[in-house]
Amino acid sequence: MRFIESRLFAATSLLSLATQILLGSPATAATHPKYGGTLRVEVHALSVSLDPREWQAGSLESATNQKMAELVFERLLALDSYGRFQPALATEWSHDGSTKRWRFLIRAGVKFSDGTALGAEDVALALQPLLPATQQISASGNVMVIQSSVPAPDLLEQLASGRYFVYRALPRGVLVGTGPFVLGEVQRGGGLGAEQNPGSSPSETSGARTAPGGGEHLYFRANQEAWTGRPFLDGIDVTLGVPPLRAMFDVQLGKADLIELVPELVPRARQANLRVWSSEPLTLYGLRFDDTQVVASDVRLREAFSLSLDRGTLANVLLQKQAEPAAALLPEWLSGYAFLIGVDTNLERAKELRRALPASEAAGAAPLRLRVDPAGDLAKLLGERVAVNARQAGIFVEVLPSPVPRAGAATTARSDPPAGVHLFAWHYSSLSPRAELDSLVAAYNLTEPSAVNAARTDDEQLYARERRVLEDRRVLPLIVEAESVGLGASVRDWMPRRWGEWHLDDVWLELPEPAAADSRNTGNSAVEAVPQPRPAAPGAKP
Amino acid sequence: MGFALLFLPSRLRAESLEDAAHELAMKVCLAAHKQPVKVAWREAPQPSGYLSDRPKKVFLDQISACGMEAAENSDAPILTVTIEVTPSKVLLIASSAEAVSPQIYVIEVPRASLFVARETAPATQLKRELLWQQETPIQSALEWQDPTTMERFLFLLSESLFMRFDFENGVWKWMDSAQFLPVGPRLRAGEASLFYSHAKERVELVLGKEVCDLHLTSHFNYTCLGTEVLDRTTELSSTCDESPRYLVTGKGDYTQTDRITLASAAGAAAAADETYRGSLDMPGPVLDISVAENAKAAAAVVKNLSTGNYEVYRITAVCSN
Repeated sequence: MRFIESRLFAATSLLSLATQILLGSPATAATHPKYGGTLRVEVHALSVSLDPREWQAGSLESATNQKMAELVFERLLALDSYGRFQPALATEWSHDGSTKRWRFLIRAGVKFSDGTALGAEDVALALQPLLPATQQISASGNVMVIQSSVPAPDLLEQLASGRYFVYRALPRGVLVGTGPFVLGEVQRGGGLGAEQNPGSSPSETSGARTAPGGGEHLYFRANQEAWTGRPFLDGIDVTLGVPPLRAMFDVQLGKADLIELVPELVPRARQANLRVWSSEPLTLYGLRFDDTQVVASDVRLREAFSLSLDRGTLANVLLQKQAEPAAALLPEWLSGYAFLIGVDTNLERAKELRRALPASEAAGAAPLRLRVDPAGDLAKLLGERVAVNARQAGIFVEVLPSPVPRAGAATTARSDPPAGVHLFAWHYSSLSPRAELDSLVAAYNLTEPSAVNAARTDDEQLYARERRVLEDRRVLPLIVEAESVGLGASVRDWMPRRWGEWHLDDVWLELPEPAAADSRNTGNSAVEAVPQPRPAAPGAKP
Repeated sequence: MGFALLFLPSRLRAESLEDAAHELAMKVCLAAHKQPVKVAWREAPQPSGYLSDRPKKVFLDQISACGMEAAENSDAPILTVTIEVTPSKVLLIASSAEAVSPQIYVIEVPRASLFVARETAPATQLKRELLWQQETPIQSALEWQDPTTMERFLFLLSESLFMRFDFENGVWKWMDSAQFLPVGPRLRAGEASLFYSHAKERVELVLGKEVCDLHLTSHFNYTCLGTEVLDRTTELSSTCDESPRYLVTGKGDYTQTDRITLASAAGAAAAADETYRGSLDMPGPVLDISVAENAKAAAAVVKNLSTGNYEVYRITAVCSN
């Protein structure tokens, strides 16, 4: 559905373009990309970290971190919308017959934003802390080699996604990148008193820049020296901590160009004729059982709990069809096999199983405590709805709120009673389904069945692994939710990837002319672009 | 339907959807009981358009060749073949709805290779199609079309027997057999072979190094001429490449899987790019290759290392797009 929307949008754009060409003149000029202007972005996150070494796998925060990091850093390669790996900081790659040894030729002539040249050694230093322990990097000249102790046929998918950015770490935790933008400055609250990154020049990017309060701005300016060519935009102004409803009003009133839309606001935004784009499902909400509350260790209780869950209502009513019921840990678009893992709901069977439980776990005993790990109203609502489902099967559930604001998935407050079940949110970030499943299994200490050889990476093996992880019902997927954004009328060439990458380096703004002098925030000036084709990336030799 | 839960160490990545359909059918054939199945096709809603009629036909032909006819009646167990598109791959998935413990068979195709295949100029690619399989050893096989009646035949040398099959209603039917050697010690690979002589425009038998004329009349017999083979070739023609191309095999020791490759010279090793473009992985050692009279197809005899069966494949060279 979402893909069709984006294709429809593309088709509409093409139709519009064709009409303009046929009608001729003034409209034709409007189709040319223009340089200039500042894209005003509003996000919900209160803080951002641009240091990929710090990101917690699967956390909701990592989604925003990654989008911001894509502005200043680049990866070795990229996956395009047609499934082709495109060269980025690596121009060629090859592997041996066992796919354990991969060789990458690093692009010459690329400079970090502090002016230093990129070398294979920099890439090795950047990626080694991010790669699993089974993969070791060595570098010599302009060649980098990744040696894996197990076959890694999906290494390209891994390196083209997630946190595998190339950066150079400067003293005091400052990171610099080679991307199309450079983090220029941070503005506190009201936008007064622009603050430079302490101890660094504006062209440097803090490794762990966080903004504890809402309403703060990150300003990314165009990297004039980017090897891919200067982006069309002069800059991107990101406001953190904007409440969802306010963000929607801002884009409707022309105060913002690109906003994050929460699922419950998507229908409303569409009704208001806002341009809406949605990704593939990128966030999994699920339940995981924890033996710290003894009752949760009973597999029959977990089965009864699982059979009581009405995922359809969660997705279609609670999330107004902006999510899909999930029975698998990995989404269909990533694994390809999720459709084979069916949603299993049977309230009568759940009641039967509940009645058969020992007296110590029967009705009237201590309730099963469900802790909602992610912050936010949506997670809380999901938790409450799950408790309602469980109660229908005779399982009494006490819902505990998120222990601290924006807690990580595995966070538990020490003073609270132990929870037997946690509602968690997991953000998919890798284009390798195997790597994603590995991360999820490791993050939640899910049982890795010994009968499955984890070293094999083919699709059949992955399917078998996932089925076995799900078998003992220690983890129960609930729904998968897409990311949505609302776009202002002036945003052009919005060409994101369906797995959530925004690609703001392609975006330009259709702005009224003549432009004001100050292009920052209010005065977006636009200068028609003299065709400046970006250097074509030489073909890779996979 | 009782798909056997076998671990099958077969190839998991193909380079085209037709290859993938073929590979998938082979996996299903090896693992499942040989019985009619009702094949249901399922394509993920987006992006669509990958599952055209060609891969479907390749799949159906292949399972049919191994004894799993595609049935229309509702009593037959359902085999669902699904095509799924992930960011980097297209997956062909076969699954049985009735299996107690769902077992799936997956072949993946890099999406990039499909794109390249559509976008680049035609290139010669090898295709294979299973024609026959049996437990007893096969020394040689040859497809031949009678120029007068236009009937198609498949000839096999199996141990000491010459066997003849004709093609009826889409399947090879056994016609007759004849003893071409006294029953005795087993033949070694390469000792007996069939080939089509373009010089004589007839099918010939090679015993040892000696050429024998075959007489394919009502009573099979042959006359050995006492001469050595001169005009046997593995040249295969292709509609998209006018330069001569020859089928070559690896140098395995009959305990390893082999591959058939198109090379620019007979007996020469294939160049790296040829290996990439025009090679076929076979499920075991290639024992013999005989090119048909029209040079458009060859019959390759393979000992399948997974099943122990002897299999005959039709090898053709086609344009990749």
